[in-house]
Amino acid sequence: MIAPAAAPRTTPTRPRIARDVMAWGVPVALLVAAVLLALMFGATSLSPARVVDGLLDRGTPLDRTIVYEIRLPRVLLALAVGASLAASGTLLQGVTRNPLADPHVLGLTAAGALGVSIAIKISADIPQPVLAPVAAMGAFSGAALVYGMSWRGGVSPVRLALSGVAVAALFTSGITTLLVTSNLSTQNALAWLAGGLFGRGWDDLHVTWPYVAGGLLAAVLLSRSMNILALGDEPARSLGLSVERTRVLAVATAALLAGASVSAAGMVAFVGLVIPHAGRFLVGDDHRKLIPLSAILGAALVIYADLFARVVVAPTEIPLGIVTAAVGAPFLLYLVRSKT
Amino acid sequence: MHRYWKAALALAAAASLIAATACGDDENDTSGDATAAPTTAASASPTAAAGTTYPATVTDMLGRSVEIPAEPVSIAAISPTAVEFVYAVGETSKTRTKSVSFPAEAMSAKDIGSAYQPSLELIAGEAPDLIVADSVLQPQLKNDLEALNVPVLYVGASAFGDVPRSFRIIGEALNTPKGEEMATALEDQAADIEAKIPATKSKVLIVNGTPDDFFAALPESYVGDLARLAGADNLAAGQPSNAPFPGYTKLSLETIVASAPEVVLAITAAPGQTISEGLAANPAWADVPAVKNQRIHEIDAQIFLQAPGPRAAEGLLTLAKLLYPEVFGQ
Repeated sequence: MIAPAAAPRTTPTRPRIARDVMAWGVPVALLVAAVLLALMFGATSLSPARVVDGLLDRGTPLDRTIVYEIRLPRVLLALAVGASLAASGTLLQGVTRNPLADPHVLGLTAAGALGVSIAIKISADIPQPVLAPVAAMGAFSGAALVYGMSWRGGVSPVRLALSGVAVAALFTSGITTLLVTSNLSTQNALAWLAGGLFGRGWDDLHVTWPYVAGGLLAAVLLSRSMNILALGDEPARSLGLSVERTRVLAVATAALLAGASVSAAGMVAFVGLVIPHAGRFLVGDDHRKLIPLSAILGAALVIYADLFARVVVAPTEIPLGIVTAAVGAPFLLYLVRSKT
Repeated sequence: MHRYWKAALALAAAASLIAATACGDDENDTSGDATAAPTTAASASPTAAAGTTYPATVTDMLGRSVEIPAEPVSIAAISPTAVEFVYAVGETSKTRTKSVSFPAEAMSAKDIGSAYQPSLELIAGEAPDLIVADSVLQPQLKNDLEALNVPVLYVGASAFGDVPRSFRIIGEALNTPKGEEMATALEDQAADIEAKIPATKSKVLIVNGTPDDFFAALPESYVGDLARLAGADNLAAGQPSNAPFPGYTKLSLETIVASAPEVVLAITAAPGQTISEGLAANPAWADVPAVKNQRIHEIDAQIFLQAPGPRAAEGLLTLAKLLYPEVFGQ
């Protein structure tokens, strides 16, 4: 849809190549640059040479510690969180056929976070490996609740979106209730839920990546069905697609991805909402391209946002969720004004 | 090369600080205690030791066994309490948190941000050979700190008894006799005060917050424990710990007025009007004995709340004087 209208029909390859470079090359370059910049900058700055030496363990022990032990796992987690949220948002916008759907708006991240909050309330020093499945289970039950509430002999996209908004409000108030009734140590333990990657390390990455990898793989496998579903329920059925099964699988995958990102970084808003629109702008509505491209764009956005959160008031940090919201909110307003 | 230079600097700084404190005005050093003279003289030399042999295994305040391969020369203390503990035993820290303002020497250390989220990169950047963390504020940072491959020693105090324990732990870890000296002096001082407390105890209320919204400290809180040792009959005792921070309770104004506190100790947490000013101007409090007799006192937020532990001796004496001026002086 962004191909030049005047492109001559006889040579379709050249504008297509140019378009593909634009659509894929730029996001990939943004992501690579994001990783490099995030490894170079922080409370202290390192030259690219020292980053490479730190990664390969050829430099000083200090460079090794900063690059490999502190920054790299955090950057990779930001990558995983961004890819998860963007893929989750793409699936949800496809299922609900609603451009305002995302794991945050539909209550999946709030459900995951409520699960984690309850677990932390029970035991403040609950180990991180337990939190990832807890967050995933929370997001799954949130998804089940949203889906169940919108079921009336079938699920309509509009009811799904509306019940998601209601469930999100319900779960967010549940988290707030837990926070204000908790003591200080529990409040500390819950602080990261506001959205942040402070102090995340290799342990956390080892726990999170299987969920992210599994969810992204499932999302890619669903992309053909998602394309058919986009035609509308009746046309999709007539093409032989099991509409409800596709919807359930897509929502479950979106919940898994949302849960994984919550256990790693708390509630990071707007990434799942904004990125699919940027992806559609670049490659159109084909989910086979849109899902991987959104994952790349989401990863880059969260890495840049986390870098900003780390350096802007160094040596202290601002919550990652605040940075993504600051980027996402104006975009949402733009979306509302231009699409309605 | 770089590391040795830093080590030499740290050693020189530590030596000068020990010399400074040895002839300084520290209450414990000049208490006239029989044991004070020889140990103080010994600590004037940078080679003074507590007899720790390295590699050493020290059990810290979280009950962890901390392996310390060699005598630490480059220490990173990462909370207000941890910084004060390190300086109190005559050593220096390469790092401090943003809110630290005591001791003055610590202000030149590297600011690593807040105690809740210190910058791990800046801690690593100081190339410490020991990290001193806070067992009350920072247990949740354990894994992050251990990932830096530097021994992490937890000290801290949520009750008076934790203070001598922390002093002994840090003295052993840093191989300085000042740890044991401070611990013994503190225990002697507490016993001394306990022996002089009058039989009829003062009815005391300890409040923390702002004039409009405050919580009362239970005997289980740090300041409550110090007040108990200073002979306070805590009017909040037995109440549930239902405030946002452990060891504090939310009391209704009626309960407070009816309990008729003779002394009110206030820790004002925010800038602006202090609790004592607010209560003195509040007509509901006019008949409370502490108000009538002008015995509402502001006490230091750092010593009693934000950096509990290292200045417990000063804190205990302050409370004893406020509760029983006729015994302990003004």
